[in-house]
Amino acid sequence: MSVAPKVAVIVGAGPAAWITAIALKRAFQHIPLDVTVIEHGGAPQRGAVISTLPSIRQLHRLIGLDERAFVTETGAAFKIAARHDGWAGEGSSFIHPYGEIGVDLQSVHFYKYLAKQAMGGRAPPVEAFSLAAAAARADRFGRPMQDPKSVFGSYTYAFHVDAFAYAALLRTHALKQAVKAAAGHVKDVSIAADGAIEALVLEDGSRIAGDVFVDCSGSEALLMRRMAPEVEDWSGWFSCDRMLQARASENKSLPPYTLTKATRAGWMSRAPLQHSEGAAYVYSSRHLRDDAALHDLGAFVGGDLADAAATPLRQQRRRRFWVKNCVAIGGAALALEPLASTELQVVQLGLSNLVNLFPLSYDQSVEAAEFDRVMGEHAAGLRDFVLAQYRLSAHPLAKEADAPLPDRLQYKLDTFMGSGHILVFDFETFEETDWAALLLGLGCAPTGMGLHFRLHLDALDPRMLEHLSNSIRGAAQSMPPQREYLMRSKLMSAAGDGAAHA
Amino acid sequence: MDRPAAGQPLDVVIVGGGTAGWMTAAGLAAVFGRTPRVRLIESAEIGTVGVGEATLPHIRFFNKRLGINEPELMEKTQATFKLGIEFVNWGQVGDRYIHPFGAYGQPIAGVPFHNYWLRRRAAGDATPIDVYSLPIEMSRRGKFTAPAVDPSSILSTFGYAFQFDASLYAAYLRAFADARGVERIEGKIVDVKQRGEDGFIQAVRLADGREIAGDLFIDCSGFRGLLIEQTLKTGYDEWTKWLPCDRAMAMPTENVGPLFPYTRATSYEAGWQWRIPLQHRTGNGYVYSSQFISDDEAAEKLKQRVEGKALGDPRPLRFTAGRRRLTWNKNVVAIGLAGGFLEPLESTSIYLIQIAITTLIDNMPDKAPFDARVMEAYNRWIEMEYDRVRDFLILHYHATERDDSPMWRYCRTMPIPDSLAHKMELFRKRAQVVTYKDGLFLEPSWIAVYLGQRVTPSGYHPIADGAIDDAELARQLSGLRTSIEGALSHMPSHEDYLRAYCPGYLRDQSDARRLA
Repeated sequence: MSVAPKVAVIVGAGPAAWITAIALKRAFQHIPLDVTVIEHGGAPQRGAVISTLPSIRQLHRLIGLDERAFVTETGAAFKIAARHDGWAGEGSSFIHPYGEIGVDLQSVHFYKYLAKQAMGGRAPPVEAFSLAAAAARADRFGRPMQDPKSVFGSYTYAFHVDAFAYAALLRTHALKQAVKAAAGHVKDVSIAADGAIEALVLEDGSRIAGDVFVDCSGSEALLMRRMAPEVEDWSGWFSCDRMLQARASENKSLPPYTLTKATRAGWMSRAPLQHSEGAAYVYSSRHLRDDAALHDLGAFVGGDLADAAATPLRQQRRRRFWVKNCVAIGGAALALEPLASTELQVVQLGLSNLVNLFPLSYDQSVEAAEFDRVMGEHAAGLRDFVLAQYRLSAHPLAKEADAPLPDRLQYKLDTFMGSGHILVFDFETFEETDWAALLLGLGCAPTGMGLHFRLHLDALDPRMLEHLSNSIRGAAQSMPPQREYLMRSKLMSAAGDGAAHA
Repeated sequence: MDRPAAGQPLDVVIVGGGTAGWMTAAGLAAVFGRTPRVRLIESAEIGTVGVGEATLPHIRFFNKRLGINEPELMEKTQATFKLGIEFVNWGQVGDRYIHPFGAYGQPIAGVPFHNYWLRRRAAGDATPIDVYSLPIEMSRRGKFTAPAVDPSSILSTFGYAFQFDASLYAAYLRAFADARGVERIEGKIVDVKQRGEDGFIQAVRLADGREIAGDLFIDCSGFRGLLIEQTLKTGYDEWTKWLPCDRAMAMPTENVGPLFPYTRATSYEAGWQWRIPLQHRTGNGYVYSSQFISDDEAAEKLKQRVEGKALGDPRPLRFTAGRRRLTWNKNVVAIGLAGGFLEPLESTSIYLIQIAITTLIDNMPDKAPFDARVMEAYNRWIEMEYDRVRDFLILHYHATERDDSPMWRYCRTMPIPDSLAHKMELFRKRAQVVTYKDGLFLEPSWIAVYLGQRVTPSGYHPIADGAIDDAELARQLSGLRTSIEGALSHMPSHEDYLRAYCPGYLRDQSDARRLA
């Protein structure tokens, strides 16, 4: 093959596979690219809820998925923040808002004002200056306005979605766009003399040939474990090795955020949907047995749990993400506990880079090298954000998974502690405000700050700050509770959380 | 000579008064006023190198931060506008291209414009990419106007910098700093006193016996690095194996012909020659490798190749490409040539000074002792800036088909950093540019040099074929050309614009003509 690939074969039965299939199909219609999904591996667990980041909105635009249809058909709920309880000590709670903190101060980032206040021991919580955080704290929700000058234009949002219903919706959407689905399990991988995949052999003996193979089979890594089995084990940083997922009944107040709570053994979370609620416990099996985890999770949610299942969680990244003509996307590439709601972000980063580097010829070595480089940086950025939350909160597990911090994270934290400045490297998902919310939320106070910034911040008009804070409080109060918003906007799904789950 | 107790304002001492020294003094004074105190020691006996007469658009941010009036600055420094650099003979003898301060066209469906140009080229359209760059066309036709702010205007697609007399720039900033309380101390440093316990610089002693104490010393003493190297022995990472030029001969000439709004860099047998048009003269210099040509021969070549009448003899300069291992060591921050040297091929000298100053300003402590983490952050940032410029410069030397002299054969075949090899391979295969968030040289710069130096892509972004049909693409490209031509049709010449923008230009030039 000296010309562009014409056949892509995707292995996986979850959202990652369908999203990748639709994105490739749409991006390369002009070739036209033939896309087949072999529905094996990575199928969502019944009861699982995916917490997403705001980038899901671009993802849906990319794959042409209408937001209204998405919300009403899956029973998804909006989120504008994550709330983390108990991380900075018993009774503590901080918000990581999906939006701006403060206003543009021209020559200095607003978060430095909060950092400076933290130096003096009087850091206000971010909700005083972030509408997304204030609304989350008040259990209020409204979609943002387009106007960047308005305080109502200062934030964005993401979703909680039933993984099963989401996969079903994506599958329907994919089939409508001429993505082919092949039932059956991959039994064997047929490899050419040069090491590239020629075809996949299914259980019934049929062969599915292709030019590019994408492994979206999650932690099973059905193709990659054959093509490039080496992984970089992250258990030196993360000691949680199990995840329990279950479904709780409807959360009446429908808070617009993911809630996590730190525990001795890990952390628990609640992710409300329109008609039910996802509950999860990520923990270290050395500290907690599955039955005890289920008991604690039930107590945390305050109700009965259905569809509970505990699965192993092996935190790692694949050493190579693209080998010959095989590319790993999503859980097959990177497994990181979902503390920062990054599960779909990993998929999105992988597929946007795959589209960007889609091979032009049989030899894909340059593309593979670039993909590995870029995805490696992305993965490190996501890892650092989660790792920082453990280390800076003095989570009990951090004492066990005490491998030295990656150099880039140490550099970032040292810089913040020394000067209150947040460095953001290339390819980081989380930006200054995300890191500011995390670091300040965990009570980190820099010990110094450049004179220049200090002078600037000392000169801030306290009336301006008070006015800003008041207008944010007022704006948050003017929003309705999420359930009311959904009803008013006719976004409530009719039945349960998605047809597939009913 | 006791150090001030912690809590007292810092005392800053700048050592050396060239471009780096006065830019630093002016920058600190503009941002901090009179606290911390800033003093600058310079000696009339020691000449300055007067690095870089050509700048990058970033200098305008620096000027703006200082509150400098641009027409006044241009008048006082004999400045002209600069829209890019013309490279002659680089890919092959006879080749020429302009690295413009601006992008080629606009992305379509999120895919950079050059991919669509490549698509058309693959279909047989031989139009050079240059015609889709306004600053390139402005340069070629000797025109200039200020860019527009409105992003929908074609006039928003470029930036500009200056070509100026660096010693006049230093003098201008000296007056600026002086008016803001920077104390200038005339004197030659004969000794440096270090603190016993940690080797920090305590004071410098001048020839007349005076001791100047400080908390933070800024070493702007040039290549020798009086404090950072001679005293602190910080060490230097040499990059000569990639950037073999280690000397230059500089010689100004009288202007001939119209003033072009760009710098020219012409490559020759053992290096390259710059041509920088200023209001009152043209700066010229031959940057060369002493391995491949002698000083005398280089001087001779320079004299033969300049266009106007020489205004003096060739003046030699020596340097070693590389970077100081730490540019902030103990209580010494090295800025300018004391911190590192990268040849002026892409006019980065003043940029690197500027970035050191602004990074220092952002990290400036208000009291001693200094936080090791802040110093580390500063050093890593500066290191990243130097390293990114380095790879871009190496590209100019390595991406060549020249086979006419030993130096070019060496450069063409030398091993290059892996990071650069990967970048080149990615462009060659699919026209993709490795981009980064921080540091110098964005996508258009890399595209200009790749395409200009025969790093020819065999493919392009796969989306570029599907995003738009042939007719629509043709329509958009011709629309772009029409708007560029339209903008050029009523754009003043560079000289007319200068005449209106800085009135002193007119006066000086007519004086010159009267005298001639």
